[in-house]
Amino acid sequence: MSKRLMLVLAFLAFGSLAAGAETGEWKQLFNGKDLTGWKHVGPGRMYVEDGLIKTEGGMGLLYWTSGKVSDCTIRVVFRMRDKNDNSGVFIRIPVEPREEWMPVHYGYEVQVDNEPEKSNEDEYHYTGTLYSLTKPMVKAGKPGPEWNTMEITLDGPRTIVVVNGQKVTDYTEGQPVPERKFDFEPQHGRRPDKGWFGLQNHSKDDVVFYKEVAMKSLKK
Amino acid sequence: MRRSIMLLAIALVAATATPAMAAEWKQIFNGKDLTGWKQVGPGHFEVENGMLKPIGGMGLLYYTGGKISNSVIRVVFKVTNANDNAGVFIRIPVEPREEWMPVNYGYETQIYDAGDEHHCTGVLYSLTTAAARASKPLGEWNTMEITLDGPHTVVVLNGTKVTDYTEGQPVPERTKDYEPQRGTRPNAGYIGLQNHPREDKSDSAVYFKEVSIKKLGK
Repeated sequence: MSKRLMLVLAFLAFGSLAAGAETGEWKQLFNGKDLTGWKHVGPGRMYVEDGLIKTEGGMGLLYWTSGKVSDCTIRVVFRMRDKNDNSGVFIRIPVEPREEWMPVHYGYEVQVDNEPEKSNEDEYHYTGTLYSLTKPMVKAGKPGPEWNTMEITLDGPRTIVVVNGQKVTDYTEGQPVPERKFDFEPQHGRRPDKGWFGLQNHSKDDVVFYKEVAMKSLKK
Repeated sequence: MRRSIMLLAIALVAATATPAMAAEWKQIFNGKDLTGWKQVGPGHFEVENGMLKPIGGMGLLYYTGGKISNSVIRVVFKVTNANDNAGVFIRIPVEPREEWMPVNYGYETQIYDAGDEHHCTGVLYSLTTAAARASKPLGEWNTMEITLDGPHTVVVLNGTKVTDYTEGQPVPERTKDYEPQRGTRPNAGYIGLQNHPREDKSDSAVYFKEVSIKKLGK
Protein backbone atom coordinates (compact mmCIF):
# COMPACT_ATOMS: atom_id res chain seq x y z
CA MET A 1 0.00 0.00 0.00
CA SER A 2 1.39 3.36 -0.95
CA LYS A 3 1.94 6.00 1.66
CA ARG A 4 -0.43 8.27 -0.18
CA LEU A 5 -3.24 5.69 -0.24
CA MET A 6 -2.74 5.10 3.46
CA LEU A 7 -3.08 8.79 4.15
CA VAL A 8 -6.23 8.98 2.05
CA LEU A 9 -7.77 5.98 3.82
CA ALA A 10 -6.80 7.33 7.23
CA PHE A 11 -8.31 10.68 6.33
CA LEU A 12 -11.54 9.06 5.11
CA ALA A 13 -11.81 6.87 8.19
CA PHE A 14 -11.21 9.79 10.52
CA GLY A 15 -13.57 12.00 8.54
CA SER A 16 -16.45 9.52 8.68
CA LEU A 17 -15.97 8.91 12.41
CA ALA A 18 -15.98 12.62 13.13
CA ALA A 19 -19.02 13.20 10.93
CA GLY A 20 -20.89 10.44 12.74
CA ALA A 21 -20.19 12.00 16.11
CA GLU A 22 -21.25 15.43 14.90
CA THR A 23 -24.54 14.67 13.25
CA GLY A 24 -25.72 11.84 15.49
CA GLU A 25 -26.70 8.69 13.65
CA TRP A 26 -29.91 6.81 14.27
CA LYS A 27 -29.24 3.87 16.53
CA GLN A 28 -31.79 1.06 16.44
CA LEU A 29 -32.75 -0.01 19.97
CA PHE A 30 -35.08 -2.82 18.93
CA ASN A 31 -33.28 -5.54 17.01
CA GLY A 32 -36.41 -6.79 15.23
CA LYS A 33 -35.99 -10.29 16.70
CA ASP A 34 -36.25 -10.29 20.47
CA LEU A 35 -36.33 -8.02 23.53
CA THR A 36 -32.59 -7.96 24.16
CA GLY A 37 -31.82 -4.66 25.91
CA TRP A 38 -35.36 -4.28 27.25
CA LYS A 39 -37.06 -5.27 30.49
CA HIS A 40 -40.72 -5.44 31.43
CA VAL A 41 -42.27 -4.31 34.72
CA GLY A 42 -45.87 -4.41 35.89
CA PRO A 43 -48.83 -6.46 34.61
CA GLY A 44 -48.98 -7.96 31.12
CA ARG A 45 -46.03 -8.30 28.81
CA MET A 46 -44.51 -7.46 25.44
CA TYR A 47 -43.39 -10.02 22.92
CA VAL A 48 -41.91 -10.06 19.44
CA GLU A 49 -43.75 -11.54 16.49
CA ASP A 50 -43.19 -10.92 12.77
CA GLY A 51 -40.49 -8.37 13.57
CA LEU A 52 -42.83 -6.29 15.72
CA ILE A 53 -43.00 -5.59 19.45
CA LYS A 54 -46.58 -6.41 20.44
CA THR A 55 -48.34 -5.34 23.61
CA GLU A 56 -50.32 -7.83 25.68
CA GLY A 57 -52.37 -7.03 28.78
CA GLY A 58 -51.32 -4.34 31.17
CA MET A 59 -50.88 -1.79 32.48
CA GLY A 60 -47.17 -2.38 32.29
CA LEU A 61 -43.97 -0.94 30.90
CA LEU A 62 -41.16 -2.26 28.74
CA TYR A 63 -38.15 -0.08 29.47
CA TRP A 64 -34.80 0.25 27.77
CA THR A 65 -32.19 -1.13 30.16
CA SER A 66 -29.11 0.78 28.98
CA GLY A 67 -29.65 3.74 31.26
CA LYS A 68 -30.83 7.31 31.22
CA VAL A 69 -31.08 9.27 28.00
CA SER A 70 -31.01 13.03 27.39
CA ASP A 71 -30.38 15.49 24.59
CA CYS A 72 -31.57 13.13 21.94
CA THR A 73 -34.48 12.25 19.71
CA ILE A 74 -36.37 9.01 20.26
CA ARG A 75 -38.22 7.72 17.20
CA VAL A 76 -40.95 5.10 17.41
CA VAL A 77 -42.90 3.69 14.49
CA PHE A 78 -46.14 2.07 15.58
CA ARG A 79 -49.62 1.13 14.56
CA MET A 80 -52.80 0.30 16.38
CA ARG A 81 -54.33 -3.15 15.88
CA ASP A 82 -57.86 -1.71 15.83
CA LYS A 83 -59.09 1.69 14.66
CA ASN A 84 -57.91 2.96 18.03
CA ASP A 85 -55.82 1.46 20.81
CA ASN A 86 -54.05 2.87 23.82
CA SER A 87 -50.30 2.79 24.50
CA GLY A 88 -47.55 5.30 25.16
CA VAL A 89 -43.88 6.11 25.32
CA PHE A 90 -42.51 6.93 28.76
CA ILE A 91 -39.65 9.39 29.05
CA ARG A 92 -37.70 11.25 31.77
CA ILE A 93 -38.17 8.47 34.36
CA PRO A 94 -35.78 9.47 37.17
CA VAL A 95 -34.87 6.01 38.51
CA GLU A 96 -34.78 2.54 36.98
CA PRO A 97 -38.38 1.25 37.04
CA ARG A 98 -39.41 -1.72 39.21
CA GLU A 99 -43.16 -1.34 38.69
CA GLU A 100 -45.52 0.68 36.50
CA TRP A 101 -46.62 3.65 38.66
CA MET A 102 -43.40 5.46 39.54
CA PRO A 103 -42.88 6.14 35.80
CA VAL A 104 -46.38 7.71 35.69
CA HIS A 105 -45.85 10.06 38.62
CA TYR A 106 -42.19 10.98 38.22
CA GLY A 107 -41.74 10.69 34.43
CA TYR A 108 -43.94 11.59 31.43
CA GLU A 109 -46.01 9.40 29.19
CA VAL A 110 -46.14 10.58 25.61
CA GLN A 111 -49.64 9.34 24.90
CA VAL A 112 -50.81 7.04 22.13
CA ASP A 113 -54.63 7.27 21.95
CA ASN A 114 -56.59 8.95 19.15
CA GLU A 115 -59.94 8.72 20.90
CA PRO A 116 -59.47 9.87 24.50
CA GLU A 117 -63.10 11.05 24.60
CA LYS A 118 -64.17 7.40 24.59
CA SER A 119 -62.65 7.03 28.05
CA ASN A 120 -64.04 10.40 29.22
CA GLU A 121 -60.72 12.12 28.75
CA ASP A 122 -60.19 15.49 27.06
CA GLU A 123 -57.74 16.45 24.32
CA TYR A 124 -54.87 16.66 26.83
CA HIS A 125 -54.88 12.87 26.54
CA TYR A 126 -54.47 12.66 22.74
CA THR A 127 -51.64 11.01 20.80
CA GLY A 128 -48.43 13.00 21.14
CA THR A 129 -49.35 14.94 24.29
CA LEU A 130 -47.55 14.56 27.60
CA TYR A 131 -50.44 12.63 29.10
CA SER A 132 -52.92 14.94 30.89
CA LEU A 133 -50.38 17.80 30.95
CA THR A 134 -50.15 19.35 27.48
CA LYS A 135 -52.68 20.36 24.85
CA PRO A 136 -52.13 18.95 21.35
CA MET A 137 -51.10 21.67 18.85
CA VAL A 138 -52.59 19.43 16.15
CA LYS A 139 -54.24 16.02 16.12
CA ALA A 140 -51.90 14.10 13.88
CA GLY A 141 -52.43 10.47 14.89
CA LYS A 142 -53.46 7.95 12.25
CA PRO A 143 -55.97 5.21 13.03
CA GLY A 144 -55.07 1.54 12.77
CA PRO A 145 -53.83 -0.17 10.71
CA GLU A 146 -51.87 2.81 9.37
CA TRP A 147 -48.31 3.33 10.58
CA ASN A 148 -47.38 6.38 12.65
CA THR A 149 -43.94 7.89 13.19
CA MET A 150 -43.48 9.70 16.48
CA GLU A 151 -40.30 11.62 17.25
CA ILE A 152 -39.72 12.77 20.81
CA THR A 153 -36.91 15.24 21.30
CA LEU A 154 -35.42 15.69 24.75
CA ASP A 155 -33.47 18.94 24.66
CA GLY A 156 -32.43 19.66 28.22
CA PRO A 157 -35.68 20.58 29.99
CA ARG A 158 -37.58 20.99 26.70
CA THR A 159 -39.69 18.19 25.21
CA ILE A 160 -40.89 18.29 21.60
CA VAL A 161 -43.15 15.64 20.12
CA VAL A 162 -43.67 15.38 16.36
CA VAL A 163 -46.26 12.91 15.09
CA ASN A 164 -46.28 12.09 11.39
CA GLY A 165 -44.31 15.26 10.64
CA GLN A 166 -46.51 17.60 12.68
CA LYS A 167 -45.55 19.15 16.00
CA VAL A 168 -48.05 18.15 18.68
CA THR A 169 -46.17 19.12 21.85
CA ASP A 170 -43.54 21.71 22.72
CA TYR A 171 -43.19 21.86 26.48
CA THR A 172 -40.45 23.25 28.70
CA GLU A 173 -40.23 22.30 32.37
CA GLY A 174 -41.93 24.79 34.62
CA GLN A 175 -44.62 25.88 32.18
CA PRO A 176 -48.17 25.71 33.59
CA VAL A 177 -50.23 22.52 33.31
CA PRO A 178 -53.93 21.89 33.98
CA GLU A 179 -55.24 20.63 37.31
CA ARG A 180 -55.10 16.92 37.96
CA LYS A 181 -58.56 15.42 37.30
CA PHE A 182 -58.18 11.68 37.89
CA ASP A 183 -56.17 9.74 40.47
CA PHE A 184 -54.48 7.78 37.69
CA GLU A 185 -53.14 10.96 36.15
CA PRO A 186 -49.53 11.85 36.88
CA GLN A 187 -48.52 13.89 39.88
CA HIS A 188 -47.29 17.30 38.82
CA GLY A 189 -43.76 18.59 39.25
CA ARG A 190 -40.49 18.93 37.43
CA ARG A 191 -39.12 16.01 35.50
CA PRO A 192 -35.37 15.44 35.12
CA ASP A 193 -33.41 16.35 32.00
CA LYS A 194 -32.12 12.75 31.89
CA GLY A 195 -34.29 9.72 32.35
CA TRP A 196 -35.10 6.12 31.57
CA PHE A 197 -37.65 5.51 28.84
CA GLY A 198 -39.97 2.74 27.72
CA LEU A 199 -43.11 1.59 25.93
CA GLN A 200 -46.46 1.07 27.64
CA ASN A 201 -48.72 -1.97 27.31
CA HIS A 202 -52.02 -0.48 28.43
CA SER A 203 -54.64 -3.24 28.70
CA LYS A 204 -55.82 -6.49 27.15
CA ASP A 205 -58.16 -4.55 24.83
CA ASP A 206 -55.42 -2.20 23.64
CA VAL A 207 -52.96 -3.79 21.27
CA VAL A 208 -50.27 -1.69 19.64
CA PHE A 209 -47.42 -2.86 17.40
CA TYR A 210 -44.02 -1.17 17.33
CA LYS A 211 -41.73 -1.85 14.39
CA GLU A 212 -38.97 0.61 15.15
CA VAL A 213 -37.50 2.22 18.24
CA ALA A 214 -34.46 4.34 17.47
CA MET A 215 -32.45 7.10 19.08
CA LYS A 216 -30.23 9.87 17.80
CA SER A 217 -28.09 12.28 19.83
CA LEU A 218 -28.73 15.99 19.38
CA LYS A 219 -25.94 17.98 17.76
CA LYS A 220 -24.44 19.90 20.64
CA MET B 1 -2.69 43.09 75.48
CA ARG B 2 -2.11 42.15 71.88
CA ARG B 3 -1.01 38.67 72.96
CA SER B 4 -4.12 38.17 75.05
CA ILE B 5 -6.31 39.17 72.06
CA MET B 6 -4.52 36.55 70.00
CA LEU B 7 -5.11 33.94 72.65
CA LEU B 8 -8.75 34.92 72.78
CA ALA B 9 -8.98 34.55 69.00
CA ILE B 10 -7.41 31.09 69.18
CA ALA B 11 -9.84 30.11 71.92
CA LEU B 12 -12.78 31.32 69.81
CA VAL B 13 -11.62 29.39 66.74
CA ALA B 14 -11.19 26.27 68.84
CA ALA B 15 -14.66 26.66 70.34
CA THR B 16 -16.37 27.03 66.97
CA ALA B 17 -14.37 24.20 65.38
CA THR B 18 -15.21 21.64 68.07
CA PRO B 19 -18.95 21.17 67.39
CA ALA B 20 -18.34 20.62 63.67
CA MET B 21 -15.88 17.84 64.44
CA ALA B 22 -17.99 16.08 67.03
CA ALA B 23 -21.24 16.17 64.93
CA GLU B 24 -24.18 17.46 66.92
CA TRP B 25 -27.71 16.20 66.93
CA LYS B 26 -29.84 18.43 64.77
CA GLN B 27 -33.52 18.54 65.67
CA ILE B 28 -35.56 18.44 62.48
CA PHE B 29 -38.97 18.56 64.18
CA ASN B 30 -39.33 21.86 66.01
CA GLY B 31 -42.01 20.65 68.44
CA LYS B 32 -44.43 23.34 67.29
CA ASP B 33 -45.40 22.91 63.65
CA LEU B 34 -44.57 21.09 60.41
CA THR B 35 -41.97 23.57 59.17
CA GLY B 36 -39.47 21.61 57.08
CA TRP B 37 -41.87 18.76 56.40
CA LYS B 38 -44.35 18.01 53.63
CA GLN B 39 -47.20 15.52 53.42
CA VAL B 40 -47.90 13.31 50.40
CA GLY B 41 -50.64 10.73 50.00
CA PRO B 42 -53.79 10.30 52.10
CA GLY B 43 -54.16 11.67 55.63
CA HIS B 44 -51.82 14.01 57.46
CA PHE B 45 -49.95 14.66 60.69
CA GLU B 46 -50.98 16.98 63.48
CA VAL B 47 -48.80 18.53 66.14
CA GLU B 48 -50.38 17.81 69.52
CA ASN B 49 -48.73 18.85 72.80
CA GLY B 50 -45.36 19.14 71.08
CA MET B 51 -45.69 15.73 69.42
CA LEU B 52 -46.35 14.59 65.86
CA LYS B 53 -49.49 12.47 65.59
CA PRO B 54 -50.50 10.63 62.41
CA ILE B 55 -54.09 10.96 61.13
CA GLY B 56 -55.57 8.63 58.49
CA GLY B 57 -53.31 7.39 55.73
CA MET B 58 -51.51 5.62 54.27
CA GLY B 59 -49.41 8.67 53.61
CA LEU B 60 -45.97 10.06 54.23
CA LEU B 61 -44.65 13.18 55.90
CA TYR B 62 -41.20 13.70 54.42
CA TYR B 63 -38.37 15.97 55.45
CA THR B 64 -37.91 18.65 52.81
CA GLY B 65 -34.27 19.35 53.68
CA GLY B 66 -32.98 17.04 50.94
CA LYS B 67 -31.28 13.66 50.79
CA ILE B 68 -29.65 12.19 53.90
CA SER B 69 -26.64 9.86 53.94
CA ASN B 70 -23.87 8.86 56.34
CA SER B 71 -26.00 9.92 59.26
CA VAL B 72 -27.87 8.62 62.26
CA ILE B 73 -31.58 9.40 62.35
CA ARG B 74 -33.07 9.30 65.83
CA VAL B 75 -36.80 9.00 66.35
CA VAL B 76 -38.42 8.97 69.78
CA PHE B 77 -41.96 7.63 69.65
CA LYS B 78 -44.64 5.80 71.57
CA VAL B 79 -47.37 3.43 70.52
CA THR B 80 -50.55 3.24 72.58
CA ASN B 81 -52.46 0.34 70.99
CA ALA B 82 -51.23 -3.10 69.93
CA ASN B 83 -52.56 -2.49 66.40
CA ASP B 84 -50.89 0.89 65.90
CA ASN B 85 -48.86 1.10 62.74
CA ALA B 86 -46.30 3.66 61.53
CA GLY B 87 -42.81 3.74 60.09
CA VAL B 88 -39.74 5.73 59.22
CA PHE B 89 -38.88 5.89 55.53
CA ILE B 90 -35.25 6.16 54.44
CA ARG B 91 -33.20 6.02 51.23
CA ILE B 92 -36.01 7.42 49.02
CA PRO B 93 -34.23 8.15 45.74
CA VAL B 94 -36.30 11.14 44.55
CA GLU B 95 -38.44 13.75 46.29
CA PRO B 96 -41.80 12.05 46.99
CA ARG B 97 -45.03 13.19 45.31
CA GLU B 98 -47.19 10.30 46.51
CA GLU B 99 -46.92 7.40 48.96
CA TRP B 100 -45.96 4.39 46.82
CA MET B 101 -42.66 5.34 45.21
CA PRO B 102 -41.12 5.55 48.72
CA VAL B 103 -42.35 1.99 49.38
CA ASN B 104 -40.95 0.50 46.19
CA TYR B 105 -37.70 2.44 45.83
CA GLY B 106 -36.88 3.31 49.45
CA TYR B 107 -37.12 1.39 52.74
CA GLU B 108 -39.64 1.60 55.53
CA THR B 109 -38.20 1.00 58.96
CA GLN B 110 -41.30 -0.54 60.43
CA ILE B 111 -43.19 0.43 63.58
CA TYR B 112 -45.75 -2.29 64.25
CA ASP B 113 -45.42 -4.68 67.15
CA ALA B 114 -48.10 -7.10 65.92
CA GLY B 115 -46.06 -7.99 62.82
CA ASP B 116 -44.04 -11.17 62.28
CA GLU B 117 -40.23 -11.15 62.36
CA HIS B 118 -40.04 -9.55 58.88
CA HIS B 119 -42.74 -6.95 59.59
CA CYS B 120 -42.17 -5.81 63.18
CA THR B 121 -40.71 -2.72 64.76
CA GLY B 122 -37.16 -2.00 63.64
CA VAL B 123 -36.97 -4.20 60.54
CA LEU B 124 -36.73 -2.95 56.97
CA TYR B 125 -40.34 -3.79 56.15
CA SER B 126 -40.67 -7.30 54.65
CA LEU B 127 -36.94 -7.48 53.86
CA THR B 128 -34.98 -8.14 57.05
CA THR B 129 -35.42 -10.47 60.00
CA ALA B 130 -35.63 -8.89 63.45
CA ALA B 131 -32.49 -9.75 65.43
CA ALA B 132 -34.49 -8.95 68.58
CA ARG B 133 -37.87 -7.72 69.75
CA ALA B 134 -36.91 -4.57 71.58
CA SER B 135 -40.07 -2.45 71.80
CA LYS B 136 -41.08 -0.91 75.11
CA PRO B 137 -44.55 -1.69 76.47
CA LEU B 138 -47.50 0.27 75.08
CA GLY B 139 -47.47 3.89 76.16
CA GLU B 140 -43.74 4.03 76.93
CA TRP B 141 -41.23 5.99 74.86
CA ASN B 142 -39.05 4.14 72.38
CA THR B 143 -35.82 5.46 70.90
CA MET B 144 -35.03 4.20 67.43
CA GLU B 145 -31.70 5.07 65.85
CA ILE B 146 -31.27 4.36 62.16
CA THR B 147 -27.71 4.57 60.91
CA LEU B 148 -27.12 5.11 57.21
CA ASP B 149 -23.47 4.30 56.61
CA GLY B 150 -23.01 4.23 52.84
CA PRO B 151 -24.91 1.10 51.76
CA HIS B 152 -25.09 -0.21 55.31
CA THR B 153 -28.26 0.28 57.38
CA VAL B 154 -28.32 -0.40 61.12
CA VAL B 155 -31.43 -0.01 63.26
CA VAL B 156 -31.07 0.09 67.03
CA LEU B 157 -34.26 0.11 69.09
CA ASN B 158 -33.95 1.06 72.76
CA GLY B 159 -30.26 0.16 72.69
CA THR B 160 -30.75 -3.24 71.04
CA LYS B 161 -29.77 -3.89 67.43
CA VAL B 162 -32.76 -5.12 65.40
CA THR B 163 -31.45 -4.71 61.84
CA ASP B 164 -28.01 -4.80 60.27
CA TYR B 165 -28.34 -4.87 56.51
CA THR B 166 -25.97 -4.07 53.68
CA GLU B 167 -27.19 -3.51 50.13
CA GLY B 168 -27.03 -6.65 48.04
CA GLN B 169 -27.57 -9.12 50.87
CA PRO B 170 -30.35 -11.65 50.18
CA VAL B 171 -33.94 -10.85 51.16
CA PRO B 172 -37.08 -13.01 51.29
CA GLU B 173 -39.41 -13.24 48.30
CA ARG B 174 -42.07 -10.60 47.92
CA THR B 175 -45.34 -12.19 49.04
CA LYS B 176 -47.88 -9.32 48.99
CA ASP B 177 -48.55 -6.69 46.34
CA TYR B 178 -48.18 -3.91 48.93
CA GLU B 179 -44.72 -5.10 49.92
CA PRO B 180 -41.78 -3.23 48.47
CA GLN B 181 -40.21 -4.16 45.18
CA ARG B 182 -36.78 -5.68 45.73
CA GLY B 183 -33.58 -4.04 44.52
CA THR B 184 -30.78 -1.76 45.61
CA ARG B 185 -31.55 1.46 47.44
CA PRO B 186 -29.35 4.55 47.13
CA ASN B 187 -26.77 5.61 49.72
CA ALA B 188 -28.40 9.05 49.93
CA GLY B 189 -32.14 9.52 50.10
CA TYR B 190 -35.11 11.46 51.40
CA ILE B 191 -36.56 10.41 54.75
CA GLY B 192 -40.04 10.61 56.26
CA LEU B 193 -42.61 9.39 58.76
CA GLN B 194 -45.52 7.19 57.75
CA ASN B 195 -49.12 7.79 58.80
CA HIS B 196 -50.81 4.40 58.61
CA PRO B 197 -54.27 3.55 59.96
CA ARG B 198 -54.97 0.43 62.00
CA GLU B 199 -56.50 -2.60 60.30
CA ASP B 200 -59.96 -1.44 61.40
CA LYS B 201 -59.25 1.92 59.62
CA SER B 202 -59.10 3.93 62.85
CA ASP B 203 -56.17 6.28 63.38
CA SER B 204 -53.04 4.81 64.88
CA ALA B 205 -52.37 6.50 68.19
CA VAL B 206 -48.64 6.87 67.61
CA TYR B 207 -46.76 9.92 68.87
CA PHE B 208 -43.35 11.15 67.77
CA LYS B 209 -41.69 13.57 70.14
CA GLU B 210 -38.28 13.81 68.57
CA VAL B 211 -36.79 13.44 65.11
CA SER B 212 -33.16 14.35 64.84
CA ILE B 213 -30.14 13.71 62.64
CA LYS B 214 -26.43 13.50 63.35
CA LYS B 215 -23.77 13.19 60.67
CA LEU B 216 -21.43 10.25 61.07
CA GLY B 217 -17.94 11.32 62.06
CA LYS B 218 -16.23 10.67 58.73
